[in-house]
Amino acid sequence: MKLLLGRQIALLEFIHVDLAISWLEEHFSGAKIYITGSEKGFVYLSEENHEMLQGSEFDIIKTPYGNIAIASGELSLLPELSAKARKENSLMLVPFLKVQEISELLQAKASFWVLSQEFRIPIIALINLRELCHHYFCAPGPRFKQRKPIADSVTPLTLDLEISKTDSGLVLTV
Amino acid sequence: MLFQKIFLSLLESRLKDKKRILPTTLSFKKRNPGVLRVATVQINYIRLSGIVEFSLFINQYLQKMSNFSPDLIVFPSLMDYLLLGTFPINLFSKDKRKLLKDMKFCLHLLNRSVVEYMKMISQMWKCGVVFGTSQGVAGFLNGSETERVFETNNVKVLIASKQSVRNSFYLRKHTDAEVKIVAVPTVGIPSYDDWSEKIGIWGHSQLLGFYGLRATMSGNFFNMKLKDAAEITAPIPLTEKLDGYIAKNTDTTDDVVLLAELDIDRLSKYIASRKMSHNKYRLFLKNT
Repeated sequence: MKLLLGRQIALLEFIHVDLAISWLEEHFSGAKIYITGSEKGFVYLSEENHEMLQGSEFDIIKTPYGNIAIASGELSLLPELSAKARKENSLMLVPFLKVQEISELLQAKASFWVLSQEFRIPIIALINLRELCHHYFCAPGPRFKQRKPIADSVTPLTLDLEISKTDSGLVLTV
Repeated sequence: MLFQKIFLSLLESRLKDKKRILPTTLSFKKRNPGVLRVATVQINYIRLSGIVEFSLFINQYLQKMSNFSPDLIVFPSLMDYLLLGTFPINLFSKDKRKLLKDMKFCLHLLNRSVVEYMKMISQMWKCGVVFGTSQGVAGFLNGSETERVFETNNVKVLIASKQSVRNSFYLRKHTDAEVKIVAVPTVGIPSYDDWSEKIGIWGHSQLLGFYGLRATMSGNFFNMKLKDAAEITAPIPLTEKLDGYIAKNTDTTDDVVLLAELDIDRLSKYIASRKMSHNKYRLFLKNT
């Protein structure tokens, strides 16, 4: 699965994307699935099924790749949401959060990293600080080992993810 | 056994001598209200024989904090292992079963001595002392044994194990009950990794909002080289360098005493500013 995080740029390498996640903005054709949101809510668009869903606070949506949990605002920092996303066998948790200060940004990143390690769920967080969106991706490492954050960027980025099913659930390889 | 019991009675008789514990500068006790002084210790493991050696050894650390006069001191876990040189156990014996049996017996006795010694420190220094032995973690406040959660200078302190500070739900149960400080006596591991340690007290300080005190033991421990770093953590917005640490030992195999004045009022204000979202969350959870 090719994942685009951030603003969609009309470059050739960004056209064939499976999942695009961005802070609330207009999308262009190319990706199969879009998740776009803000601290107030989110919209899920599927070009294949012509499906559109919208929600606020917390939801787990079914996508062709698996369940994706989406959370908006400060609630996304609560451990219960990560635990629930994990329990529902979600592929990842996507929080949208707005912060005012750099210290809050750093704290949110640290908190999302801890949640991803403790509840063993990949977290792709979009954190907006003064209209600049930070894309932060962290995922658990092998059992009983912690892993550093995988990506932390203010520019758009693409990631190749491999999803495989095992007895213990879905495994996501970056 | 008889031989070991004689050793123990000798050990305990020497323990009663409070003069062995370094006195504190109590006149320095005056401080700003809403501030708690804490000391966190990292000990480089050494095998000591007898309570006299033990008291001299512990005095080195007390010396470093005597002028600071802390309200709370956190020592590492397995403090009774320091006294293993007291009894004539052949630690290099090939009969592992006998070695373990001997060690278990000795540690049971040594544990009592360490507990008694820590109690005397808390009594003489008029402060809280948190530590761990082979029997688990414990705490004393002004000479009296505490529960897992105790109050000193109107601040609630939780004594937690290394494993329990990796559990958000367990910690939040206590932070919801106004716990402001989490004290963790621990021991290093040979495969120390900074990121693996961050998930514990540092990470949960950020997630839940409390001051974390982690004391540890490092160094050569039998045939293992233990590594760890003592630390005092806080939510990132309350730290000067915005790194979530008030103090941290940079050396993973070194003796150190970390001293800090924790601004409890500032933490309370910070928690209060986050409280609204927590109330909102409870409502949210009820509805889902």
